[in-house]
Amino acid sequence: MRGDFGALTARPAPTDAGERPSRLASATACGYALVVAAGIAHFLLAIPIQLTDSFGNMLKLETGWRDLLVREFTQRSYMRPFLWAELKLVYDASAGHYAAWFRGTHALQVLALVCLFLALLRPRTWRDALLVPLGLGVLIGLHTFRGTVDEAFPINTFLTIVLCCLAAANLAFLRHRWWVDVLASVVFAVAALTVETGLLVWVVFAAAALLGARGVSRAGLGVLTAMLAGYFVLRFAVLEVGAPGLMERASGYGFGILEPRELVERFGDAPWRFYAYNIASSVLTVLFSEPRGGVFRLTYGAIAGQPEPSAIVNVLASLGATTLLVLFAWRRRAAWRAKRFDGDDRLVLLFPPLLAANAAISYAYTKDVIMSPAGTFFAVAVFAAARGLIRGGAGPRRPWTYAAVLVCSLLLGTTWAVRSVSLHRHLREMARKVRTEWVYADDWFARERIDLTPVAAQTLLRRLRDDAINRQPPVPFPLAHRVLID
Amino acid sequence: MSRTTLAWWMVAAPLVCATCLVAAVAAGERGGWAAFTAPPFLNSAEAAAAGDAATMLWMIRLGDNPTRVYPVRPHLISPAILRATTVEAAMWSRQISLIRVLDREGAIIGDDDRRGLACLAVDLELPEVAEYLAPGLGCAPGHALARLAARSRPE
Repeated sequence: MRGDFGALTARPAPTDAGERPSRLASATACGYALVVAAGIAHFLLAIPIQLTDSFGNMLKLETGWRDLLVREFTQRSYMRPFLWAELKLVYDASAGHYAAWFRGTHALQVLALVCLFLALLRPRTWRDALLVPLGLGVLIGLHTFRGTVDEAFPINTFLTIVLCCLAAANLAFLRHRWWVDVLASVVFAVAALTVETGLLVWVVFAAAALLGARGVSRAGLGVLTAMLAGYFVLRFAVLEVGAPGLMERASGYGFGILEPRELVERFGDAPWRFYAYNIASSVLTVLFSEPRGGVFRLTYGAIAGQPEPSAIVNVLASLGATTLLVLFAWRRRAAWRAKRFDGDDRLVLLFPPLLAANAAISYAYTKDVIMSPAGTFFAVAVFAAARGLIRGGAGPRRPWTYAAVLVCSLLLGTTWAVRSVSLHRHLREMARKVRTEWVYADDWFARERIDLTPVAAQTLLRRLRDDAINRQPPVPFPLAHRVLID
Repeated sequence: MSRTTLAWWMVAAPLVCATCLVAAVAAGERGGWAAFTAPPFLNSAEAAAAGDAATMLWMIRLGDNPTRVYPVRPHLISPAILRATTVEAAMWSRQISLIRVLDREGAIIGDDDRRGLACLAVDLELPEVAEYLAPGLGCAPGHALARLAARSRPE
């Protein structure tokens, strides 16, 4: 490998005060990030534990550790023992205070996310600090992030995977120590056995190594690759867990949603066409926010003459961010051809392989939140590209060009600001929706034929329902009815 | 400040403003400031009229009596209906599931009450609700609604 392996953020000599490292600048960036995390945590804590996504899972947690884990290794279609281990750990520790513990865990995950994100970006100068709002705005404003906070089972496993991917990137870019290899193996094992997208952790390590990161040694990478191979052997040859059916749920396609029966009718003889569509739409959704869940919403609206204003905002925001990546790639093309990568290059170049792998893993059906690891590294790449562009750039000299740049900058900031506010408004709406779910819980139990005769089920129901209904009603978020907000 | 830096300030400023807005709302709610925490409804009848089942139930659990007549602000039902019980107000949500919840909570007491509510449902063209409350009941058209409107008029 070529390049400067030791210093991730190797920079040219500072040219002005804005580029000199400053502790105050780092502290300001961290303070801002904590305010962002605290804001999300506040809105998260107002959401009761969900009925439909969580009650059934929590009932299963009444069983002992051994039975729980054995069942996970002996069932069909899924192999997620760590998911259940994480749930059981919090469930047992909560001693009946389920909402506080599970939502508290979720809020801590958000805090950890922001910390890992910032640790990877390492803002050290005032100019870096100036870009942190954009990086965090893309991180939380992108639609792929929404699913990591607006639902839980009752821990959000997608967020767990995002955390593992960010932890992996941080480890990969450290200086090598023996314990980095050990931690890398632990992170991979936890991620892979939590949910299938956890395999992306290996992609992060491999891509970082190809870009010259040496936190994980060659031997460590060998172990990770052996673990990856071992996962497939264990899953498909030893335990014969297999994989879920490819057309067992509805999926977005074109301008609408196709039910499983329609999917079979249309793609039964050539499913690869459906898979190719899913992969392509997963890539596009991260880069352009269109399609969403496989459905081209904005395009349909535009054809019908009624494009949704919120969808326009989303696409404009993503278009602006993707343009930054393209501009950065264009400016750095000569260095990249020569395989000379600095810190920002590596952060940007980590994104394409992760996007491709994440999209490939989503081949069976498209869902925005499945692309959350790629979405997170999109935010990392946007920050790094912006930092690369700001460095040494004198700006356009012609007044009209400069004015156009200022307008585009304001548009970029405003659209991402709208998207990040939109997340909070959505979380507040979820709080109202989940509380209402609990009012009508009896109807849902009857529909789902859930047996509530065991005492444990009744106790759990009473506690969760009381927690949902007896809490102060969430106040609607300001700007709740503005059309631009998604 | 260089030209490039100014451009990035233009990117950061709206995002910082958005974060300040969210932080202000969160701080206001945590701090218990009335402007941020006041429930949008004054009583369970208002919540029922708006179809907010969870807030309605919360208020009942806090002590609201669903059979008591409460003042209801004009924008929630109509300027003609300004006083209603929680169950009566729930009719304007047009949700049978809400009526069922109130029934389970013991908010409908006695056959007379049930028949009166069924007739109100007929006046509001809610046949499913009327059938649920009192199947096959004959009502004088408009009578139940007129009674409710009369209650709202100043004496």
